[in-house]
Amino acid sequence: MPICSYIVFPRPGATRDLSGRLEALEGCRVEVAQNKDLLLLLTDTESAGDEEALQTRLKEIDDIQCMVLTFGALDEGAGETYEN
Amino acid sequence: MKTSINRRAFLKKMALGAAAATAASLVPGVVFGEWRALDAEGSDIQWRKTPCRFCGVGCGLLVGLAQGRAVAVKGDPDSPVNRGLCCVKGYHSVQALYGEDRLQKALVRRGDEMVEVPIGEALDLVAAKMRETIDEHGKDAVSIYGSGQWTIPDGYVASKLFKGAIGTNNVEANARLCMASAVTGFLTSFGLDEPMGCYEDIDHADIFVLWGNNMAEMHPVLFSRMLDRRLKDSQVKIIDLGTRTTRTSQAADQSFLFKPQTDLALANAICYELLRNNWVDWDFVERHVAFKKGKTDIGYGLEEHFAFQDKAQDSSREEFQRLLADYAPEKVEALTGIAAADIRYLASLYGDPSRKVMSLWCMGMNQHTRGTWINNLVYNIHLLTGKISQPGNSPFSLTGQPSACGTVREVGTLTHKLPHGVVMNPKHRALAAKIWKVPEKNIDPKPSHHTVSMFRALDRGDIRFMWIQVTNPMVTMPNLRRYRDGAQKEGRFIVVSEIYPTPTTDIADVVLPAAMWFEQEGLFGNSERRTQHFDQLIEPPGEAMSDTWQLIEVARRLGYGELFPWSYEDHIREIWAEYRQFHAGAKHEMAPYEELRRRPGIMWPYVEGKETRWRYNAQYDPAADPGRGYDFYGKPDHRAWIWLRPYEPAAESPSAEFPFWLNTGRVLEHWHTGTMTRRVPTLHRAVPEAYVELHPADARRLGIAEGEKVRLVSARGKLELPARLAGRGRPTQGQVFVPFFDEALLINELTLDAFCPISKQPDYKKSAVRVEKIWPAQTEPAL
Repeated sequence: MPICSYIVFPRPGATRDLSGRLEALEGCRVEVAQNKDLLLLLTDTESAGDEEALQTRLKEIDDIQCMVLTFGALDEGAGETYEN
Repeated sequence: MKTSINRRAFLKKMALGAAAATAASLVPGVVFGEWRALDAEGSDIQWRKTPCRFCGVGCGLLVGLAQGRAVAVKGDPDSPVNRGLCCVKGYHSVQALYGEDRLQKALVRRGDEMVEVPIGEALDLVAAKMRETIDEHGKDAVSIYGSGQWTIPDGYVASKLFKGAIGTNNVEANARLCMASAVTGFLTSFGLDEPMGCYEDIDHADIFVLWGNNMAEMHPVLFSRMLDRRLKDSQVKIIDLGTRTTRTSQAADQSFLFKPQTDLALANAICYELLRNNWVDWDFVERHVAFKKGKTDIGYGLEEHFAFQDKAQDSSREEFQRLLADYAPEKVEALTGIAAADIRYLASLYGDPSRKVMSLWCMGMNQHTRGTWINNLVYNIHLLTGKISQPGNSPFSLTGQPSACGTVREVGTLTHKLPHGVVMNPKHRALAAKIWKVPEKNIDPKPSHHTVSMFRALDRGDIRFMWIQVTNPMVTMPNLRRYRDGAQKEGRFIVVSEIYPTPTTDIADVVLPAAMWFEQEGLFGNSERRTQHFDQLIEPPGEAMSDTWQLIEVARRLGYGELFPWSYEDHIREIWAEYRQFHAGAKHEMAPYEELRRRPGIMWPYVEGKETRWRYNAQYDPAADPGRGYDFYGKPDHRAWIWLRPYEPAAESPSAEFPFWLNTGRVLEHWHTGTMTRRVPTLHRAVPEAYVELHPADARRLGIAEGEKVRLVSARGKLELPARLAGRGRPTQGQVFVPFFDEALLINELTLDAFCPISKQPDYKKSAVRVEKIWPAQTEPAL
């Protein structure tokens, strides 16, 4: 159950549209910078296959100028809770 | 009260935190309103400051705590070092606390087995064995070998116990293997250790010259800061000088590859050109510089009882010019492999008075049989041009470990050192005796063993007891087989304080489980003279105990309790208050404990509430005499010394039998011997095992393909490991590179234990090896 985060640089003028498009994808959550043309993308998918499929879809989006992966975890201990 | 927190929620917060912190470093000033809200929402996570412990840069981290565990990391935006950015090791750092095989109980050898015992019983045994060894063989039969990852209190207590109470100078640390040449370079050129400048130099420099320094992997956050500087000014240039193409070379504007050891000749050739073109700041030289020469043909430390003492003699500008006559670029071209025109170009960068130049280096110059000399020679360049002790004009020696400076160099956990000064100086001994409250005669005026010598003494039996803390010498010692065999001889007793099983715990008689990093309170000191305090944020597992407290417990068992009277709750504050007395005064004043607790690090000298960013320049340094402008007060003549140092060859060079240079080093993902980072799944998966980098032309000639297992053979050992022809680094033809992090593939069984005769630091960059293709038995060609 992978969790990843990315910094997304949109093409000039495409920030708003891109944000909406990314939010529409399953497993995606977007944080838009308040003062710059920049997005943070958090992906939360069910399996490595789903993550790969999502990445393929992201690569097809023209409004993304470039993306930087900043975090990736497979979360092999999914569902685990910490207790004391 | 029972509470629970969902793991995926933590991971998502970590993921967003990492993205936001990275974005802040790439796009300064960016604001994410929603993320801030989410962060505040996560009141179940408490964020606390600590320095990173995975290199000498000293990045500030914020560690997310929940339910007594460290669950997240982000860069500390308030840290002036990293301004919110971390590298891959930093972001994953807290996972290193939670490896499945973390040592939680003390272990004692009973025959061939290690058995768990209560830690109190193990500490009793350590103290009893130390006492027995001292009684039977004398005080110089016991020793301690520590680390640049020791906290400042760890090193201070070790030094006080061994040098002040027991009275032996058998105190060494692994920083001897990484920073000793930097220390002797500073001392011989300036009389005082550690850089005159600071990281802020990066924001002012126009030219960065990296001398054998793969900063992109070894100091990635500072490298990013440098790239950011270049992004903002198209005139900024990064020049890579090395013996191997690396990720740093790929990002540099220009990369020049020189033959191993010939950096000495290159530096002299640059000086030759500076003089030839009159690019020298003669006013600065005449007012602030003296010319000195030392001994030459100084050996390599390979003899069993090798001893060397350099002697400074007065020299002159004319004699310096006569020495440099041998280093005209056309002469040096053949030796170094760098074209004469390129050498002249490098000199022009240093010589241009309108450009500020920063030189940076680390292991490439320090792990060198003439390590002190090459440090001196780079300082010569900056002194000739007057490009020193000003914002952006800065020769800067980077550190490999989080407290090589703070602990080993400043506390002085080396055989010849005291917290202030050296054991040979009666005034320094008197000061130490007064602060430690021990008789002056307790402190031996004669240094005993540097690191290689100490392990040789253990092998011979001159040393019988060794306590090893926070380091893994059974992976890192050069010529390793000799020292591993020596440590296991009859009549030796080895104590190892560790957090995980290692090849060093394998040879131990007692293993003490250690608290890690912020499982204890402590302080580190980074490359730019910045002292960084961290609180204990979580409890150590099982019976694990800080190295500081282990030492105090043993000291008390040895009968030295009155020298270590501190309470457990308050001992770090008390130790800091005592230690700080050694550095009182404007040249090295340390910040008070309360200030350090509050801030993400403070640079010394800290005078009247102000950090000193550029030493020796009266404009910034209150210890400098304003009448002099620049005041190199570390030397009695208040001048920095330009040293006449020639090129001399390496201890071992390729031959017909061993035709390749062997260079060893680190990779981005792993910290030193991988004890911690190999237990972080992401980092381990990224680089799971060691390999040998070969130049593709050499591989073709030997019939070796990518990934194929090959055999490396030196005069000391052999090792089989996979070949990398298209990895992140590419050695020049005739050279191979092997990272040393893999305890299953011990490259140091092949390296040579030659060292710089002045610094005693071994050269891990230049041994001679043979590369053999491993033929399946049935296809091996007939001879």
